[in-house]
Amino acid sequence: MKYKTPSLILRYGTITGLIIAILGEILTTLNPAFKQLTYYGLEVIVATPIISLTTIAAIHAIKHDLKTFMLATLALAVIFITAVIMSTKP
Amino acid sequence: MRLTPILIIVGAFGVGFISAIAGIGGGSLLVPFLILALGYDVKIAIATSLMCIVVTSSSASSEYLRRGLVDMNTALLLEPLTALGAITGAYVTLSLPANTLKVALGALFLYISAETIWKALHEQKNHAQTPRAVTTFRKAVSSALSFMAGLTSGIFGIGGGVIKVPIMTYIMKLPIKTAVATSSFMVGLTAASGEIVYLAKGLTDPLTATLLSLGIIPGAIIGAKCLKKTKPRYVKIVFGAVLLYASLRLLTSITP
Repeated sequence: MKYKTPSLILRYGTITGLIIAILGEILTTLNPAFKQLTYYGLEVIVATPIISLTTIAAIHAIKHDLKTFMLATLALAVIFITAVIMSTKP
Repeated sequence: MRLTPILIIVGAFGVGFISAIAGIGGGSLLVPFLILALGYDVKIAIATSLMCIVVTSSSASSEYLRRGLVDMNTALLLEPLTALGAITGAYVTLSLPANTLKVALGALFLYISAETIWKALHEQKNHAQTPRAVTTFRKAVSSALSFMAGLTSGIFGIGGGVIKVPIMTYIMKLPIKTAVATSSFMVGLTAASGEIVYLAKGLTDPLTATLLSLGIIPGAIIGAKCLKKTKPRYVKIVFGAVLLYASLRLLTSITP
């Protein structure tokens, strides 16, 4: 099965994240407060595959393919729950 | 050691170029490059490498998804435990001493280099495999092994394709092209999962990650285009030798 929308999300999400990160680095040389912009860029890059997976789950939900939808949702749940638990641990 | 941003981009370009020709993920070269050539702390190197893995695998799997090469059922069956492994691995790295990580990294790279050289010297033509029904037992074994792949990715800052592709070809009986595409898609998700922890703990070097990504993408694209003109066998031997040298340097750089 071809996944055009998740594919576009992966491609342009990564490019957008990189552009934001580069812009952040350039602007940081003018004002250190822009360092946060670089982190936003990196966060966009990290979020991109997860957003792509969410779209895949939605595509299968629309097609009433419950098995794949449940597997995608399970993967997303595992990522979110464990990431929140591990990130908040001291 | 201070290197200019241009040199970091050039180094990443080389890593991307070699990785594309040798058919391996960039992580196993990026981590030693960051530690040995740029003098980064081992944990920062792992976190920064994992960020680059997200970028490269997202770019590659975008193409695989568009062409319909990813076996989504297999990817989603293995991904929950792989992601769990990656996040756990990232947390393990945070709590391990730098010297222990260097020993583990050295041992892992020693294994990868030996395996790469061995395969290059005993290269055989891949026999085409047709997809067939996989038993529940095989699925369970694959899921358990995927956790190990995720753990390796999270701990060492590599993609983990070196474990995922054999799982898919030998246990899940996927054709090699489908296995590579599916692994690439999973690597993006796995690396992103581990990277969430590293970003939250502020271990990723944003400037280096950005510069490395800028170098590794064109390097991988040009490497893939040069694939037909070069002999991957010799590139794999060179890659294995470089990695062997890097692993020995890592093992001997341990300070009491």
